[in-house]
Amino acid sequence: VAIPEELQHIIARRNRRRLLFAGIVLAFYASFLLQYIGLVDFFAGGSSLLGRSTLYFCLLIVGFVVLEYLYLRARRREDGEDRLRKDLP
Amino acid sequence: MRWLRVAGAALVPNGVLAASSDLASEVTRAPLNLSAIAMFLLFVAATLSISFWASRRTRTSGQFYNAGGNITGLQNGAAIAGDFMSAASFLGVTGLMFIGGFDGLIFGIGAFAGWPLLLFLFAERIRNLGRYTFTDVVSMRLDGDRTRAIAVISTIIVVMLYLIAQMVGAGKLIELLFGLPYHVAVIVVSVLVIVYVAFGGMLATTWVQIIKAVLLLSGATLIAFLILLQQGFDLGRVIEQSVAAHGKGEAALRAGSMISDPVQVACILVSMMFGTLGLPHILMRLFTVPTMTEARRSAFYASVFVGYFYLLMVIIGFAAAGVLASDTRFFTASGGLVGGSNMTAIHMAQAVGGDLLMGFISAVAFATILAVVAGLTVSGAAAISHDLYAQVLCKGKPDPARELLLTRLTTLVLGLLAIALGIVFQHQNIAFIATMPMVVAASVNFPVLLLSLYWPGMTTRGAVVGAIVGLVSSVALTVIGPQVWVDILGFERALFPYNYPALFTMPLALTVIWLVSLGDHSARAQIDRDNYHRQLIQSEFGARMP
Repeated sequence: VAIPEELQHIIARRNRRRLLFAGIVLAFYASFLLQYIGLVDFFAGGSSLLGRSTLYFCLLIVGFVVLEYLYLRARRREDGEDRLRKDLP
Repeated sequence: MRWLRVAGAALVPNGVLAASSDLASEVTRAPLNLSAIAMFLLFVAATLSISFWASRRTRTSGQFYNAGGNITGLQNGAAIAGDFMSAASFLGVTGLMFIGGFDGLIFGIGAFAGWPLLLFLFAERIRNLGRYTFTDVVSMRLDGDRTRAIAVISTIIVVMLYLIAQMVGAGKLIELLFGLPYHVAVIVVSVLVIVYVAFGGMLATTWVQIIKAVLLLSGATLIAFLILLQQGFDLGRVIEQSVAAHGKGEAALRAGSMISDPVQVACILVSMMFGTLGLPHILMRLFTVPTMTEARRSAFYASVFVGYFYLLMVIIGFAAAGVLASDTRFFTASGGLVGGSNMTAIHMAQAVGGDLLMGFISAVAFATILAVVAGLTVSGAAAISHDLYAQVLCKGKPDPARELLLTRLTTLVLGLLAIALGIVFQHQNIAFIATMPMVVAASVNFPVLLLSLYWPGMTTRGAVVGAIVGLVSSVALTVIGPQVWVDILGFERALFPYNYPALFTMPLALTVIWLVSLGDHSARAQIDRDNYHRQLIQSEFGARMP
């Protein structure tokens, strides 16, 4: 089945964005593990009342929600593209 | 130091209830908690009314599976959160933090981080491809019968294990909270769920989950607010008090206070994140919305609710030490927490809000179990009646009335099975049963779903062999791991050292799918590959190519 070139570009762009956002989440998720490896002193120090580990936990949650919001905004701008379905063979 | 004597693990969070020594062992029945029972009866009355209303709108099997596809993104997001945030998430995480401090949050981040990936990778494509179950998606371009068969087996395994864990946990927990006998608690949960699901289908289940999510978030918010109010909204003072009271001192605020092995932490993180992405009853919720835009919103709102919930857990979990330590009511003569560590959140409610708030939180815990079990039951019923009967046995052309009847009968059978299994497993150590659904979902459903959506080269043979390898390896490694090999079978040392083996079994399943698909030169394999572009277009634009 041949996919029209314009649609191929759209799909490729969407996939790049999906992989970028998923990659960011996975990278930060994996960074949570650094505190257990002991190679990074960052999490052990600090005088904040919650401790840096806990602050990082909170930051990850808020950060992931913000990422999702940005993704939604980017996708919303493209909603018109779905009308291209009429160009399908 | 009474903290050092607080025994046992806590509930395994993330919807899988009860793996604890607390709940797996005999519990001391509480005196009848009348305020909790009154509030719970109110919840039951409201949800039964909804079921009656929903039953008038559930005339076909399609309406049963996806609530007619008319749920909004916000409603669905709340329902997904309600489906996912179990009593174990609430009671388990606070209990774990009470015992081990920061490390209790490993389960929190694990349970949360799957949601962004659900939005980025799955929400749109799954919504556009499927009708009622995730099996619709994975079987779309592959040989339907073989892929559906393996997906149904995986779904049933995940649902049944999840159900056993929920029912045993529910029985013990309700015995503890309400003073009801174990058997009565298990029967009450099952009967209510049968009524919700059999009559109201997904529509009633959705509203039960929404109400539960609102109640749970309200209750947790109120506890956190009252904790801060008591300390003049000085979070520093809350933490200082807790550090002073906690047996681990400042170490309770740092990683490694309870689990120090980074590989074990990685095992938990991988199982929780990718297991979430493979849970059939969660994926099924994406079909209840009318468009892929609403599906995206669903995933986003679910993230917001679940994320907010875990932020509240930080306050409640860390404050527990400081708040409870000064009150002897909450400790036994031997220094342990009354009812075990899973009661931390309940005791916190009593400490900051008195008997009324404790009754409310107990009722919320009960409601929480009902909502999760209802979601599981809908998913199990759909796997049997839609995937197996309608699609495999009737080749996609079932008699609609018979299908709906079968769906309701399956619901009844699942409910009765839940009672039987709940009673059979009453005295068993169910830690491994609570672990396994997430590991199986991560090792079977997630790899097949991911590659069916993103890799044109996947073939039916690759998917089936990879799924079987994922299933067998995840079950086998769990059995020879510490929870079964040592804790249940009594061997001195586990043959496999980790409790959540998805770190190993998920990549194994992905690799096997890849290798078998590459080596598959059958005629069916060519059809599978050729079908990919049709599927791709439909998944992106919602339109079928001719």
